[in-house]
Amino acid sequence: MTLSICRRFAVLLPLMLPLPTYAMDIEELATALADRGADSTDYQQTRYLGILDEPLESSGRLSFEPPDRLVQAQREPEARTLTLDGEQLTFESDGRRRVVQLDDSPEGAAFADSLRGILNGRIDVLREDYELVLSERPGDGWRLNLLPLRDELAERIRRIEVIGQIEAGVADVERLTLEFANGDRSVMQLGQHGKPLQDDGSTSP
Amino acid sequence: MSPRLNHALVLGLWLTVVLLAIYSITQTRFTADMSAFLPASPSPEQQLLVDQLQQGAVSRTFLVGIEGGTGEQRAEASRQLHANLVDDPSFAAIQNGDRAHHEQARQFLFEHRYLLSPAIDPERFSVEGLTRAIGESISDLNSPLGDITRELFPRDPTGEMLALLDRHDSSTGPAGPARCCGVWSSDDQSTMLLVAQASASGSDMDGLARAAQRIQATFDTIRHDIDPSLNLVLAGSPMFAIETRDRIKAEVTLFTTISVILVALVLLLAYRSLPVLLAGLLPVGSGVAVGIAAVGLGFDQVHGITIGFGTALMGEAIDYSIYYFVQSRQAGVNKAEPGHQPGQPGAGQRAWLRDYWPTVRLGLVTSLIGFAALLFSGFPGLMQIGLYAMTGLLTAALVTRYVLPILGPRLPRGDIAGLGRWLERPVAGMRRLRPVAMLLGALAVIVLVFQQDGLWRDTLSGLAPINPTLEAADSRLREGLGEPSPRHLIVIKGEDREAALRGAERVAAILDQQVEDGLLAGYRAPTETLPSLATQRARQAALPAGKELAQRLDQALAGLPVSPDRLQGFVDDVVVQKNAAAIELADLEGTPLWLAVAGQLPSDATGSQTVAVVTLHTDTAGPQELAVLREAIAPIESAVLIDLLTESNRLYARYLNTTLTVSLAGAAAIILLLLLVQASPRRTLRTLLPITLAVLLVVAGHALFGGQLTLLHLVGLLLVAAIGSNYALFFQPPGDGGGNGLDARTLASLTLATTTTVTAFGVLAFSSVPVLQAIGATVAPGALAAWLLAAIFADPSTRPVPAMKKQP
Repeated sequence: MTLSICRRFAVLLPLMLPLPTYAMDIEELATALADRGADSTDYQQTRYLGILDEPLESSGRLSFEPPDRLVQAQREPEARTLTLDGEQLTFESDGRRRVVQLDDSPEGAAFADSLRGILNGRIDVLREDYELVLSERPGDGWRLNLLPLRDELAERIRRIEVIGQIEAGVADVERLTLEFANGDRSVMQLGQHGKPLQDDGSTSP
Repeated sequence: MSPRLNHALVLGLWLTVVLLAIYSITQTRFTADMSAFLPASPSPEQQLLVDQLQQGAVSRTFLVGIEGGTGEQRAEASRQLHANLVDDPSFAAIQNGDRAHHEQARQFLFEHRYLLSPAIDPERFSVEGLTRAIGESISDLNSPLGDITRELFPRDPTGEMLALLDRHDSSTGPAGPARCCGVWSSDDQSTMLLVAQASASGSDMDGLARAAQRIQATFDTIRHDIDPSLNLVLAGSPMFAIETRDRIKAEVTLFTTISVILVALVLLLAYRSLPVLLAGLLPVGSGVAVGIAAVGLGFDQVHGITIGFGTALMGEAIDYSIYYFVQSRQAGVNKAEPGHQPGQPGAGQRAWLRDYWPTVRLGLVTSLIGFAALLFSGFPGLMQIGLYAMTGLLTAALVTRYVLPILGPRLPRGDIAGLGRWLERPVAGMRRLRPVAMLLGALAVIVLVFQQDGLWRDTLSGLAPINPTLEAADSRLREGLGEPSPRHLIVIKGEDREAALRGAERVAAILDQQVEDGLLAGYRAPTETLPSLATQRARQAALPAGKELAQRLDQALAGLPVSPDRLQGFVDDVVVQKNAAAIELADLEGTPLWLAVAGQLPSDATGSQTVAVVTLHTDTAGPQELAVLREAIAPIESAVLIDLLTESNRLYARYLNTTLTVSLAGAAAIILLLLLVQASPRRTLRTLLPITLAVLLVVAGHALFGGQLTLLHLVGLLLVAAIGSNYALFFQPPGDGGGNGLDARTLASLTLATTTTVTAFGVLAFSSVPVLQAIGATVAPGALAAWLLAAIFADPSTRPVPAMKKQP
């Protein structure tokens, strides 16, 4: 009886108590991210490219199925689908398919690959290519910076920044920003777990 | 002329001829060149098939797999193997999918994109064309692929590189090989994959075998340095060829050794003399030497297969010396020979020459006629076999006739007449089996009538021994590499490379349509990486000059979110490539693109013409799709679609049918000859009956228990007929009154000859190599049946009776 109460209490504890403000460590975040499981949210992506006079806006739906399948289904302005399944990157547009091995284009696929590494909580995989720097934000927020370790990667990618919240022991990803070496930037705003995308306009960090 | 001088002359002549033949053989070129097995007037498909087998990429491309160890170790082994072999002259190209090479290939494509991209035409570089192409690229930038195209855009705003990569991908299958640790790997990453193309031609077995050894030896040293648990898997068409050759070689050696030992034991038992045994090899040995020399003089190249088949057909020659040594021993002892004491030296020889030689001679002539039919087959390969067997047999017979009688009297030997006498009664009793034999023959005919459709297998399948382990490894590596087993090719001929490439471009345009319509999964054409000069020039002409392009860009970009000054890199690149020299084959050497292109442009095979090869991905294509394809490329006269498998089978079927036809013609000629010589249709019938029944029974036996018959069985049947005709003739001696009956010694010699033949070929029947097994399983039972049937149908008037009484 007491044991059962204790157990229930242990389960309810995180819900009843606000999370302590101790410095979060990366493994905890990884666990909290991995606990999300399968997920599907709307997204909005903005690209700031130096060569273009204006930013490019697109939006669609992002789905993740553990352990390693990520589908970015763009709806606007044109229907395009990128699927990262295992080591294979498939791009579909107008009924055409292009297939690329992740290994062929690790720089080009950095966005999807690191996003997947975040969504499935595979911090260990990310650590192979990036130095991870975790910091807290006001509230239950967290900010994870990925800094490329290898020169080939660093030549193209300056850093990847991921911002999110932890709510009830489950981590949400709010925004993922990819900064390229030449100053180009790609920002993806994600809807909250199960909720529609809130466009708060805070697209730039 | 005194007999002694005469003997010296004969021996001198014989030795001279044999020595000349041996000298001639040392000057002869031996070859495994498949073209000897083309018909004298090959169809274009057949010629191209053989050219492909010799020069094409397929027959010289090794698939290499590295297993064991950790992923990193395998990748390191793959890189080292590549580094060690890339400059090896044994290999034209080797690829392991290393990202660095991939990058290098991409670099080449990027630097030549305006010469290579099929989209380049004047319209593409007009103001509207530029607006459309750049607009599409911008919309690609704003797609999930944007992070990849982002880097290309400033210098390639019209998206040519992406189009090139798309096409490149479609030609190597949708995904290309998987990758692990920077190199090609199987999907599950347990095997690293490489592709190595040997420099040796597809018919140069020794060269291919050396290349395979080179890979293995290099890997062995690498493994030693990295991790001993690493393991090499070699597959690909050349491995099958090497394996088959090695296996046949090994089994031929093994079974020939066993045969020779067994036959030698049997003969030793009979002769009780080693010198006689050795002397017995003189006819067949001389026959082999003269036969090879004759083919060498007549055809300037002797094919290895000729010697193999031809020597089997000469098996009859061994019998000659048996007949001589057994029959001539005190032959005539039963005759009243005036002037000679029984057993006196020379008496036996003369009696043999008088009483037995005519029968041997008639048997020889029937065999010669049978083999002569091969000369009219129109296939140089079969003609070689025919010529070889004929000259060899004739030489063996002449040596038996003229040389052995000189040596014979000096060679004391055992007498096996006792065996003959012991067999006389049972053999005489075998006459009672005639109804049984006839019944069996009738049954055989019924079996053959019912099974006549599937009697002969007219495809190559099952003819070569396939090692299941190698086959499994091959399909595993092929699957990993995304490389379907190549079967359908389009070969485009041209006066020079340029003409062939132009033809290939026209074919590619048609194939693109087929791919779009879903009739074809994909194809690989050399023109993707090496367009014809004309096409490259046309593309260069379609590029505007620098100033002109800058002006058009200004207008084209008016409605787009990009300003012209940011695309200066694009303008510069267009200018450079517009004025660059065209890509030539030599430019690709040393790049990873070489493997794909050089293999599709086999170096001059037929002399004046050059070909370009387009490989089709037809895994799912049925005969209907192929017919549509064939129809579609029909307008291009220089292009031929070849189905390697069907064409090989067709070639083989034509061989089989031709051999069958000429064999039947030979049989008819033999019947005519016997009718003429024997001057008695009844005798001829009695001679032919046992041979015919033996052949029928063997064929029916195979149809019932052994499966379909192949060309090799047919060769075996020819030998059965040749040997069987000798048996039948001896059991059926000439009835002109001057001949002898079937005495004990003749019966013994026939029995000994049958025993050696059945022993020698019976051993072969246990081989796992289909070629050997087929001949063994045909000749051994055939020879036995021929002997039994010859005995069963022996003329009662000449059946062996101790008193040797006979009717005229």
